[in-house]
Amino acid sequence: MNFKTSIVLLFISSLILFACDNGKTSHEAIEYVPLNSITDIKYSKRFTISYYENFKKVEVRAPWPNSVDTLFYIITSDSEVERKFRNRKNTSVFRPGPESVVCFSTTHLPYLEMINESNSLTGFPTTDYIYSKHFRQRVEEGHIQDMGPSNEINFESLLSLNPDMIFAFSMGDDLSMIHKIETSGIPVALNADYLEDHPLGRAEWIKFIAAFYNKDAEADSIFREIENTYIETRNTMSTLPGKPTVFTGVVYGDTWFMPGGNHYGARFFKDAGADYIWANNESTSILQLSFESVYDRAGKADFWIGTATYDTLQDIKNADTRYADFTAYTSGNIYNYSARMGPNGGNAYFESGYARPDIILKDLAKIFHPGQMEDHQFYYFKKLY
Amino acid sequence: MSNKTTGIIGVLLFVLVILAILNISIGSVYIPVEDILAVVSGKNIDNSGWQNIIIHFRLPKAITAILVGSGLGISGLLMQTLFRNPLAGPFVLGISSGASLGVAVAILAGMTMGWGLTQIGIGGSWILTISASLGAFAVLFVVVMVSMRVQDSMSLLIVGLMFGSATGAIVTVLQFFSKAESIQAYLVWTFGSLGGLTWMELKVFIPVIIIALGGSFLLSKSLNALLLGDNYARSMGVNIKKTRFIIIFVTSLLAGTITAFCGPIAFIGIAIPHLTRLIFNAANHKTLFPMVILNGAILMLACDIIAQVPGQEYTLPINAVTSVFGAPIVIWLVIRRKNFSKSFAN
Repeated sequence: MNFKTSIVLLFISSLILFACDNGKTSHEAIEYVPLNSITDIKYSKRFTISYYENFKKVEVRAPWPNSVDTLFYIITSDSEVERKFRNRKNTSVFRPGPESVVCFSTTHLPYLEMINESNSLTGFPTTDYIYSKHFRQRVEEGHIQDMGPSNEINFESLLSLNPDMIFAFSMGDDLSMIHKIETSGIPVALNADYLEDHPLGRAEWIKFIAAFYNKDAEADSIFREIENTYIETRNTMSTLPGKPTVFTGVVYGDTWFMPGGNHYGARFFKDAGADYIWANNESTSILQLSFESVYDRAGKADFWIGTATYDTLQDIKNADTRYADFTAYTSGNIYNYSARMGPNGGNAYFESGYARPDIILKDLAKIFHPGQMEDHQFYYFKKLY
Repeated sequence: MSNKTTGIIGVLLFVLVILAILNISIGSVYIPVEDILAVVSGKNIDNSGWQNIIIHFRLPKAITAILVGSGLGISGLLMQTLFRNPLAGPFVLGISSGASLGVAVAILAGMTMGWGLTQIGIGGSWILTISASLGAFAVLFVVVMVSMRVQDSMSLLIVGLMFGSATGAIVTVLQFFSKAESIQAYLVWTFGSLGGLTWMELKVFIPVIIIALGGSFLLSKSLNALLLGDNYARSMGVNIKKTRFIIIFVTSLLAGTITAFCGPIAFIGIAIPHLTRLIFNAANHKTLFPMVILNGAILMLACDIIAQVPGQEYTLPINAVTSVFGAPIVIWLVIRRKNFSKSFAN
């Protein structure tokens, strides 16, 4: 067989494969009728859960930036259902109640703790970055294996651990590693919590994780409590007179990274009763500003929240003397989110912050309106001295 | 110096002043030109915010741009003459690779040793500056050692290139084992930055660059001789080893200090000497030196104006601007002047 013929054959066979694939998806989808929902997804724009007689379907839309794909996760203990869905495009099948899971991000861990499934975590990339005392102890005791650096998972340790499933995330459309893992028989669920624009949308991903453990009802009630506290704090703050002005971030090189007016971070400032300087900007992503434009607009702002890694006023001044000209600096109204740091570099804010927007909001409300929230102790935020 | 040269230098000086004023006038924040001129001439204006922006943001940045452009231009010229190679630039000796390694070790390895970014700082912090200088000078030390042992400049060029590859590989390994945020901090450093220097840093930066530029002027006679070959230079009474040592030292001081404070600024060092030779048809270092200094400053100011994206709140990384806008100019000039290598070698 010469080269040309083999190319033609390859082309034809791929066409046939595609044809089979499409046929399967279209006529089998109508067999199942959704039941009433146990849980409603109210804030998240990225996932839904629908319930059928003997399986659950979790749909994740656009699971990485600029993606158009939708992924389907079928959770079932019915082997008949499993067989039917196994080879569908963009579909993975999971058995409920995994006893051994690997998470790829620290943001997935608090959900496991909240639904009392933390014992199922058996592997994590670079366990040093875990903050949670509970998980740290389990690492020390040898219950959680280190899977190597997070940007290059140690594939062999992963295979030898052979978990029931993996909670992963993807920053881009290169899913080669995910596909490689799935080919070896370990199903992977992509979590897109970090793409949500609403703080409660991020926290709602507890329902996503819980679905795989059949703990939907528990997750629903935990989330409802977080939601109620958040809304209660927001309502109290919205009635207060006077909104202090606020900005955030630091300059990296020549660029100051500032959340757009519709970004997750900006929403927190608004809900905590502050006037975010870039609130009128319509972007949901991070703006890249010049130092002088930040100085011009935020130089007289009341509060500076989130000074990256700077821990003291002196640190800030040492980095760039121009920071000391900001009114927030001279009045000492600077806070960062490093109140809880792990021994090896973990930070509670980046780990459990997504899951607990109610605590973040209370912290911020206490900062902006000192007379309020007197019973609340700062959790993630601390004032710089 | 001929009348023609004096004329050209006069014109370049005029362009430099105009561009410097333009550079200070343009930024994300709109400030009327009369206010800018008032502040620059030492008067106070009503809007203290604007006054601070001009004095603490725009003036230091313009001065940095001028010194970076001149310094990199001169170090590029010195290397091209030393190696008689049009592809040489300020970083062929591995100076920027050394500086990158210093910074990478500080940010990336420092993190794993548990320092955290807090202690290291981000942007133009002193720790980054010092580790970049240490890295650059460590490489310089080895290169000087090698330069004492090898006879010809070409071997030195190869040693420099090897250093570049080796340090690049170490940086890659460090990145592999690092957390996303420290990789980001390192990447931001590689984008280059002119705005990170405040008056405090300029107190160190200005004298070092000016002294090194002054030192390079004294070399012009030996450099003219070197262009015609080591043997010819020797017959003219030039002490090759000593000259080579001084050239390497001055280049390292210029390129090392600039890289330490502003990050690795691409392209300027290699392009400015060519632009100067091609536009003004000059080969004598006595005339090349002032022209390269002025051209470097002018091009850097122009690139910085583009990087500001006038009228917008956001900025572009300076390193991208120097390469994206600078490279086509050189290509165009080289194609227009077909006798490129001729203009270089005589």
